[in-house]
Amino acid sequence: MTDNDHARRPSQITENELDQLLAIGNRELLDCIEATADPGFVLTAIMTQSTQPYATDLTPAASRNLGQAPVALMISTRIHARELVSTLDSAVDRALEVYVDINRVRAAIRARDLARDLDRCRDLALDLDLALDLDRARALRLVSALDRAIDRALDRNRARVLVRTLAHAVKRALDLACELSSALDAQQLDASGADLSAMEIRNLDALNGILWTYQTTWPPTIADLVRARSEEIRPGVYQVRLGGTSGRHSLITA
Amino acid sequence: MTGAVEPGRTGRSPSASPPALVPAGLVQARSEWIGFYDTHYHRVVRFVMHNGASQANAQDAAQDAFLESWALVSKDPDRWQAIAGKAAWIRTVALRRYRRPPGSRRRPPEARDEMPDQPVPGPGHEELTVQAQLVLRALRSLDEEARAVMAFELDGISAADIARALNITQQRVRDVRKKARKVLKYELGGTATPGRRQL
Repeated sequence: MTDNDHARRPSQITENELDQLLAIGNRELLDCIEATADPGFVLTAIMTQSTQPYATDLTPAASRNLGQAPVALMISTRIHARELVSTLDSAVDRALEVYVDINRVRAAIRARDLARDLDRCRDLALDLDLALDLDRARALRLVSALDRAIDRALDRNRARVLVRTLAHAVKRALDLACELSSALDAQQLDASGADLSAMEIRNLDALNGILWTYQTTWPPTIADLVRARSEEIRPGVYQVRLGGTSGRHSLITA
Repeated sequence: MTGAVEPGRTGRSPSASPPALVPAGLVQARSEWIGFYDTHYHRVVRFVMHNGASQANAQDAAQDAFLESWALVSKDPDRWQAIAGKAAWIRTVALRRYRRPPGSRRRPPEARDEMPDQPVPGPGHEELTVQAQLVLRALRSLDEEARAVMAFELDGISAADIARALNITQQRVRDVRKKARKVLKYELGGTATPGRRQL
């Protein structure tokens, strides 16, 4: 620093003023970074890179060894994923309501409801992550997307600015959940001889494609429905085939 | 998990549970890591920017650092758990990655990143404000060691953790900090009324 430089500056500032300026600059730089850097995107990149060594074997970990992943657990996970998709679907509607009502008082109430829904979704997604070593990247991306959505839903002061981003974040979470659910459905499950009698299965969708035999014990409330909607693919081996839409979404009301 | 198998009716032991697909220690470490990532990602980017990086380079460095930490969590969760002062550790890794980026991103040691976009006063957060620009400019007048010490301090890292991260003594941290603040007071001279400074 030259003497001329010093001459241009009226005076040194005090320690207190320096602390204030640093604090303001520090906070505003963080605001700028938060507005422009998407941690979810980076998390996805990290997960993608960290799973690259396994890229030669894309078979999901759980399906590689069904002996260690009981079919009941996989069916529960499928049910779980559907519940997540359904709740997120409602959340997207709520997000759009918030967007429409942003200038009205009830927007804050809707935002709180939305945050509650998303919190539930986050718990579901975390459970999925724990259950599925296979899809951890997808599940973690979903958790991250939900975290961001919850933060945005609760940030009332910035709601006007962020509501559009919120709707996008929830929609993104829904897309990820659908992706996860489809990935689960794509796995071939074999319930031959399994005792599933204690399971609570209220929606046959989760059973589509599952192989079973006469030794398989279904919950009494759905046993007849499963038999009615299955085809014998080889002697003694059946497969649940719900078909297009006629057999789908069969809710058990008993 | 909803819809899970209810024990009892099938005659199985109520204590029987499905075998874990992921070791419990790894699950816990991963869960903690996600929380750590959420808390620190943006702040690590800011830390690297305080050390002279553009936002793009700072994001690259932060990503590399978190990737390294994730690899550690996945490979050796116990070692990750044992790291004392993780906030300082991740920043040190990010700073090292910024100063010595891998592969094609290698940059000349004397190169200074361009300043980010022109400041825009007002509530919008997408562009840097005047105050943020001033602080960045002032920090860039410091030498490398002083910038690092101030950047750590702005992130609330203790002197002990700074000393460990930079491999210097705590007394050295205090000395560097004192000199850095003196320079910053000159550099930021004329901005004594925070919030009213105009470029």
